[in-house]
Amino acid sequence: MSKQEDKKNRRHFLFTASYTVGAVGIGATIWPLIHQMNPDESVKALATTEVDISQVELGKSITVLWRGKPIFIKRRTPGEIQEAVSVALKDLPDPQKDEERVKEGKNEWLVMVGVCTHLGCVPLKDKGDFNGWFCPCHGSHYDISGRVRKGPAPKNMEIPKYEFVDNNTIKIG
Amino acid sequence: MSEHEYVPKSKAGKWFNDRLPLLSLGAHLADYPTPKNLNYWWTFGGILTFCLITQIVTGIVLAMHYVAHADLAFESVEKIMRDVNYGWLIRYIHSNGASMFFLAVYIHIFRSYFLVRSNLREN
Repeated sequence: MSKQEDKKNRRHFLFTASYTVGAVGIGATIWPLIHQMNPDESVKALATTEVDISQVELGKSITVLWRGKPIFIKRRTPGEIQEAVSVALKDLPDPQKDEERVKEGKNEWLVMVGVCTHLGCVPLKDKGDFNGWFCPCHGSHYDISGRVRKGPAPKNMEIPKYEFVDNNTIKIG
Repeated sequence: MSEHEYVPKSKAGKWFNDRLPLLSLGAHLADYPTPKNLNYWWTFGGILTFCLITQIVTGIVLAMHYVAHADLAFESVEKIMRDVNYGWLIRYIHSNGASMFFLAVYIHIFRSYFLVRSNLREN
């Protein structure tokens, strides 16, 4: 290898090395600014929440906080359940049966994360064209099973992991 | 000077440079003619720009977590320091950055008093 070539290789190495160090430095600067938006340890520590649902009347809903997110707990009337079950799957942008979104034998209770799957606003209850929820930010309509029916939202509202501890208590998480 | 002019090598580079001539500007500034007598005291203008950007960025982030209420403000600052991910780092950068800002401002001011004044007198 000639001296000229040797010098060129060395320069190339130095360029690559400094770009690499620079990229690591920029990453280390950006990461704390992104990570501050993630749920912190104090939120993660509250992994499960027990909710008393004995006071919820038929057809009404409550909103509780779980991991800093609103959880809608709706006690549906038989008519509303009928409505949710009778929807044809082909009418849904994100096809999912109502049975898959409730616990077996407890299908009057709908428990879901009350966050619009579009850009994360909190939908309003008892609004919209489908008798369910309506997101005021960009106009997504959800039905009485929390499934998206119209608007920009790509998915149905999320169902968290939960279980019935007894008839009056559910444990979310 | 034109020997350092930036000439895009790829088509994509040309497309980008035609629309936002950032790299042309960089090449232009790299051999921008400056007075001979500039020394490191003249870097404090740029340092101040850096301080300002840092303060704005960390300040916006802190404002996301701070609660401006007489009863809640203290707790929200405690939360920033203890719970928010890297909140302690962002707040320390913001508070120390404010001090560094002042330091840089004073150096910048005195640089212009002493160095620019004496230049004027010589000419």
